[in-house]
Amino acid sequence: MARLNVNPTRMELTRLKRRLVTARRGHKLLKDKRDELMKQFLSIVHQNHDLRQSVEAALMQAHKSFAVASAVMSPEFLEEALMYPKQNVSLSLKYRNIMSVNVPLYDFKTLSEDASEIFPYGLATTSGELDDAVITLSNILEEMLLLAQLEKTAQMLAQEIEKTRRRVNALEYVMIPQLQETIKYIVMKLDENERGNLSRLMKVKDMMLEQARLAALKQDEMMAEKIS
Amino acid sequence: MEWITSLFNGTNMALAGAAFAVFGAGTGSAKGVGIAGEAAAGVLTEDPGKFGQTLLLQALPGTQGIYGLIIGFLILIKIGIVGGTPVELTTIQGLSLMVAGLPIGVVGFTSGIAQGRASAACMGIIAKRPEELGKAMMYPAMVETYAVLALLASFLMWLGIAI
Amino acid sequence: MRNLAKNIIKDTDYLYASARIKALEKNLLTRERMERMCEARTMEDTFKVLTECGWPEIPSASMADVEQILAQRRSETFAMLRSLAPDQRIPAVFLMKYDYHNLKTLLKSEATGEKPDALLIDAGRVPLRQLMAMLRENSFSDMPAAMAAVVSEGRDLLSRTRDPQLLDFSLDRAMYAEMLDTAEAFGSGFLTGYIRLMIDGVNLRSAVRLRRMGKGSEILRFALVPGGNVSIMSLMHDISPDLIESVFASSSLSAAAGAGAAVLRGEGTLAIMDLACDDALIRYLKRAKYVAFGAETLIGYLAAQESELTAVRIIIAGRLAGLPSEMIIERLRDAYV
Repeated sequence: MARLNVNPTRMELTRLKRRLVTARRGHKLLKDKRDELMKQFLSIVHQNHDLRQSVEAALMQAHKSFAVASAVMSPEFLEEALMYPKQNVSLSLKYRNIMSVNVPLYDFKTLSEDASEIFPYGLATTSGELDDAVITLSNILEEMLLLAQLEKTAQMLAQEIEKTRRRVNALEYVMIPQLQETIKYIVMKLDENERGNLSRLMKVKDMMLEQARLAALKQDEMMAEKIS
Repeated sequence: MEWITSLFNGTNMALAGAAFAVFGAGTGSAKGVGIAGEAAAGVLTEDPGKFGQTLLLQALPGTQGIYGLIIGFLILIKIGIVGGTPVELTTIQGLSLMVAGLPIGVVGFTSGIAQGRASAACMGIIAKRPEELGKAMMYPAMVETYAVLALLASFLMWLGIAI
Repeated sequence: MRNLAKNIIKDTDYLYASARIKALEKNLLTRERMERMCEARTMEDTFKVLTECGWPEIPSASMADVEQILAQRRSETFAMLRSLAPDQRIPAVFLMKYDYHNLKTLLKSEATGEKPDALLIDAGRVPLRQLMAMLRENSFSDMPAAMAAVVSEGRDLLSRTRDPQLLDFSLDRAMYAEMLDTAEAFGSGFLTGYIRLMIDGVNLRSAVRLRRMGKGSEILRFALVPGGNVSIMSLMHDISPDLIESVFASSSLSAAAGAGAAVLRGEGTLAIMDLACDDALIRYLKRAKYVAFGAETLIGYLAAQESELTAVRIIIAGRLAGLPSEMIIERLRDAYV
């Protein structure tokens, strides 16, 4: 693990130590966020799975009815029956915040309150199976919107989880070890300096003692000469 | 008065009978053959291979005309207009000969048309099942019976009238 | 007096046409041939049954090609019948469907601004180009009178209510009224009876389907078509299974009404009722087979051709969708021949 390229000073050491504390706290927080996101994501995925199955079953049903209708009616008659839609739907979009992720919320409103106002065609030249197809499709409209909402939410949460996980990993495997390494390095460097200093001092002390001893010797000699 | 008696003399009456037999039966046959012919043309348009069968069916209503002609001839022979000397007939004799022409004239007319229609209907059988020609021919042929009966009646009358 | 004389149909006028039709009937699909088409191992074998019956080769097993062939068959049949029929009112009755379809499409496309070209069928009495020009120029004098009468009304209705269903109801009523009038003027009891039975079927199906859609009985006033054997007054109540069964009990649609009542009770499907209605019509038409020559043969053949086209579409669409043969056979209408 590479260490950061810093000057091994005491000031740098305190700065790095502060950073390490922040990184540790961030790492813990992000890990909590990731776990919570995962929990949310899994529940949405389960919901999504069930809903998708029911929507798909209904769509297959509608498709089957429609296939029979299109076998009985000629295509021109079929398309003419459906060319002018009668019911209008307005869709509004809001957002909900899940762990600071803005997920969409769809809400739709039909123009006419009457649920039977969905058939835009006369009955003489159309087949009954077309009714079935239209009814089925109209019934699953709400579920389909919910499904779209859930899928989008799941997708956005997955992205967020991925991002958070990358951050957690970056902190856990890069940032924190790096900081630790650097701190260790600075501490070692400082200790070494300390030790160097100590030995130098000891040497100086030895030298000073020697000098003092020599000076004392010289003085003694001079005293002796004087006396003699 | 004079011209009325000369108009209704025996010979003229007998001639009218002969004419009626030929006319009635002939018209019947003509109509019948025409009806069958139209239907035959329809079948042939879609299936030219059926010419023989349709022609056979078309010819069936033609017999009435021949029967009418036979009776007409017989009457003419009897009164000597054809192949002999003309015989003086009383009005009653002439009237009898005229009545003898009636059965084939009337029945020939109606049965000719009826047979034509039956033939035309049987063209439908030929159109769908050409192998059933034998059976198909039976139906129009049944109508023929009554034309033959009328021919017989006319012939018997002709035979019985003494001149 | 002259008018009356003209109305008397002489069956001998139909000798040629009837005989020719009888020869053509040989090529209609029988029930047995249809089942062979369903059970054929490959699509080529299915198509082979058709080519045996004088159909043109179908270039590929795609629905688009099949539809094209079906349209071609339809126009060939009508072209032949138009040249063959001594009275143009016979094919006209069967062509009205396309006129009114085109009219509906054009009026709706006026309202939505959509291009209608792909949905139009150039098979009606009024050529498509003329019809479009008439609507553009608002001159309906060359249109059949009954159609002209309903065009502006329909246009108003659509712009006022924005309800395409009401437009369809109004045009459908006008169409059946015109069919019935034409048939009555033509003077064939067989044709009139056919249209009356058709109207009965439409009314039965409308009543059942509207009830199923959850509509109230007030809409029946617009949706039901007068002129059938069964009076529509007897249907203008709250539709219940028992009402349906009792109203149609003595008509030839009693089986279809039973199926309709079952649908309302939640037991059967609409397809069974539609099928029973169509089968009742075919049963009625089959009488024409016992008429040696006359307008009936032509009427029966035209109707049989139409139901044959539907049958072929059902078979091929079903086979392309991979349905098992029993399921397709179940949905097939009875055959005319």
